[in-house]
Amino acid sequence: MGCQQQTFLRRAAACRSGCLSRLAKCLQYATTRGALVLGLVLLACPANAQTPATGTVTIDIDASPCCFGGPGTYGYYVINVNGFQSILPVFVGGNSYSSLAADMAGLITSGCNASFCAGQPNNGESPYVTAVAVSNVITLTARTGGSATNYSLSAFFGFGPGNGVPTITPVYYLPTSGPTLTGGTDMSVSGYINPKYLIVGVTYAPPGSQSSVTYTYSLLVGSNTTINNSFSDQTTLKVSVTASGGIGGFDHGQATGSFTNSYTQMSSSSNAVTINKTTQVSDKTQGPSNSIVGLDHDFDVVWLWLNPVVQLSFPAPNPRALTWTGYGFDQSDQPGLDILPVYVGWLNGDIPIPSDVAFVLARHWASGLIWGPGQGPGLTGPGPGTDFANIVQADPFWRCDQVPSSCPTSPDPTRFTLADSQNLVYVQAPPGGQPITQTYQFQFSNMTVIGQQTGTTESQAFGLDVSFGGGVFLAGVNVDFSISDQFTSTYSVNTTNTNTATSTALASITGPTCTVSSGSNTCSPQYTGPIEFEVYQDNQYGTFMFFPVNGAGGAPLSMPISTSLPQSLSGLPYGPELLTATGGSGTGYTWCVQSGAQCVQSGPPLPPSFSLGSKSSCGDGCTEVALSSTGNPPPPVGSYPFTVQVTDSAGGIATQPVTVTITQGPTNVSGQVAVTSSGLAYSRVSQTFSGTVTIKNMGTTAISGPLQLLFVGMPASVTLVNATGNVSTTPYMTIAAGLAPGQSVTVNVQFKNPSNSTMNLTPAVYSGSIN
Amino acid sequence: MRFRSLLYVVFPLALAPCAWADPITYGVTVDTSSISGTTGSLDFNFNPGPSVTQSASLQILNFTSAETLVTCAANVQGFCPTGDVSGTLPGTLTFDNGTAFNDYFDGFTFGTTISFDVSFYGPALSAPDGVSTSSSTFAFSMFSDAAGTIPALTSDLLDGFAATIGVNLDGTTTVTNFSPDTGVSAVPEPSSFVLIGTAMGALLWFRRSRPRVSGSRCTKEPLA
Repeated sequence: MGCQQQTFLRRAAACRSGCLSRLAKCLQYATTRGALVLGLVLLACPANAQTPATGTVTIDIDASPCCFGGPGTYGYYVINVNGFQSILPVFVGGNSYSSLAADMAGLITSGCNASFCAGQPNNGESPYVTAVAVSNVITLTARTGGSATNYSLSAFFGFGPGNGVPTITPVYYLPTSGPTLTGGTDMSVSGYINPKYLIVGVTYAPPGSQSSVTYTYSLLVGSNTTINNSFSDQTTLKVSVTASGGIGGFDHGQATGSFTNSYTQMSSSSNAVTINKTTQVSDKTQGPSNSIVGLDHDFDVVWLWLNPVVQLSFPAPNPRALTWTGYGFDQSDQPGLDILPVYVGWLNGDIPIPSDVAFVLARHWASGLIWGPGQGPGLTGPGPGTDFANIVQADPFWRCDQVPSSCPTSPDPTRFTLADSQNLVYVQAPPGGQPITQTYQFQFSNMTVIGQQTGTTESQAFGLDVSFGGGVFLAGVNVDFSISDQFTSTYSVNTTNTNTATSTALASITGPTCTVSSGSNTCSPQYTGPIEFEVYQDNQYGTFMFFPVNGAGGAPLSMPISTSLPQSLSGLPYGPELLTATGGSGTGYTWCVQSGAQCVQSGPPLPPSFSLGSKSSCGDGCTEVALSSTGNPPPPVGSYPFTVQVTDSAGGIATQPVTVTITQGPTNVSGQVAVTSSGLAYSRVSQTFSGTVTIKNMGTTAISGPLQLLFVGMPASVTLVNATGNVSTTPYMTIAAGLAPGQSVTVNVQFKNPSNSTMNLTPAVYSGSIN
Repeated sequence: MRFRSLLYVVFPLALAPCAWADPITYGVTVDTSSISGTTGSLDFNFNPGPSVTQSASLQILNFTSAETLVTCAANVQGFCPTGDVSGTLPGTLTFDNGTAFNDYFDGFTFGTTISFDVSFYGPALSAPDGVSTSSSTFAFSMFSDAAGTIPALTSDLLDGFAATIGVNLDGTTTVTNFSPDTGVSAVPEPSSFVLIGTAMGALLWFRRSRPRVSGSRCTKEPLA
């Protein structure tokens, strides 16, 4: 037995007597790390118990042929219960029948518990025997625990001279008579677990600080929440109860069946629980404090129940099957359900938690309970592996603000169903105008899918490796309680939507106001996010979620690029430098450069020969745009500031000022030379395509060196192995000498082309240096 | 009369070089006796240049060897051809320069000799367009390993080519031979033989049809 186990047993022994709840606290020591993670703590001893099965065996002492009661006579008796055999010595000589009977009763019990019963074929069920002598007839009455009935029961008594060591084969033996042991009734025993929290709902923030969604009638936990197969028992329970009687419940617990408050609980069946929010209380979920932000899932709300008690029962017909019987709550916290709305931003660490909220989440009222190493009453977080991290994932959009790229690009079709209502509009007021407010009424639609598994399945396991033999729990109840192995609790939420009109909500959506600077006719700041949202119902929690039309999670459109692009050499190709937009609707991007009241793809304020174009073939769907230049005509040296603007399909606009600096470059002499090239033979040795390029001066004037041979149009997958360098993304080779009229020069070229891309280069030749 | 007859000879002879324009064929012979028995590989590729390249094709014909080729299915590369290549050795292989990499690679156990013909044809040879800026190149390589990484019988240790034949922008070809064990020689086309034969026949006919001069200086009258 390990040290940790011994510690556990010592602590458990201290709790051996007393009420069930105290025992339960002892068992907390056996909770595992899984319990900590899930916030579930075992607070009670689920137990199974039976009224004892009984039977009688009568031994007629005088039926022995001789010797009973003679000096130095030792006897023994053997009792068989359901194949389990107990052999015990008794001192016979000089005993009265009554004292002999007393010895038999006591010995059989102690002997069995000491060594004999454990591990026997009948699972160690201890026969409990009483012996009563009436004249020369001793009647043994045996009782057993366990779930089985109709145990076989037999006994015989033998004696003879000896030293008290019994033998299996008696010198004499007494025939016994009696019926088969029959009877026995399992008795249900209840218990409980109280998690640190339960998630009862998720409500989603609408866009805009002046917007809100009010749930006027809803099931806070969404709908009928069915706990299926809540507990699977993978253990061997060894329980015997030697007296009838009830076992009380949690000493701080209060069943909520008759409790009335803003929130009430109803148990519709033994394993389904519905928590309704009464119509007198309305829950209002508002948008972010800054309307320009638009939609921000940090302001989604997770509704937590902080003092739940989960009631369990071991039903009589099947004592190993734990059954969920409903919820209660711990009155040590408050005389009612403690339900707290918690912002996603608090849980994911984006927004500091107010001190008063942190105090409630700390659950100080539970600090008096006994907690295992590393465990405590309060909810932990934020951070990986904490309670907060587990809770926040109830909202699929919990990371949209932190990591927009991880935000779902479309709602999970199992979890969310498009509500049968018009799209929600969120537009900024025009300059000089008032904000636009629109109201919507949402109603949860009847679901055709019954029992849709939308929840998460969580498990906790706790080991119980201790036996509480003979402990008195309540008056009149003796329990021999022993559980070994592992007991696994599986928390599985099945959301069943079977009723109509179970949830309604009113949404009031107000767009951002428009502040106009003096002399301007545009809003500052300008709302650049999505203006249209689809409304989805959350099938798990019966609430409503707002998703940008064609959106990528509602992140505002932005252009996170450097404001200073690489400098350009006049006359040389430039780019493509890619500008990237994130967020927004995700489709239908159009790009331009602001030019006064217009927006252009080329021309001022872009430098000559520069243009803004969609990247490759993705067209308007591109989140990237390429700023590039052919180098011709060569732009004048200088600095060119301009503002890039991107608009998405929802009308969201983002702008980014950037600057391109043009410096003096070499002279383009491509028109004076002829550039030809050989075929490219592939070498398996060097794994390159090799050939030659020849430049011939076709003019009548000399071209001064150095010459720069640019391989314009090189596919991205192709590399010029022996390049001198790159101008933007264009590789080039430097040839030191110039060319006299009619003179030519040939250079070797080697390309890496792992994807065998077709090349269609347009070599360009420049005279001068590239710095 | 003499002038007209001379034309019969000169004209076919003048046409004879035209027979080289389409196709152009080279015979390639390799003495592989120094690596006989080696399990290696052969590689043929015919690729365009990096810029605009006019269409051209070639065929590998009459492949003969003292040893057998590894079948393509058992080849270490899995498949012999890559790109615009059809056929299987020792049969005829047909390449064109339509993709960037047109290659035939085959496992091979060397014997004492390899020989084959390479025949070039297509617009780039028969009708150069004058605007293309890249030509095409055929490369032949031998390797002493099945993976094709160790060049054999060549002085080009950098790229491992035994010989290359470039199709120039003017329709001519250029042979570069890196292998002292490899011979690359032009093979006249049958049409050339016909023209040359015609010319030679005409010349013979011309000579025979010349009128004999009576009382020739070579003829001596018998003395009375």
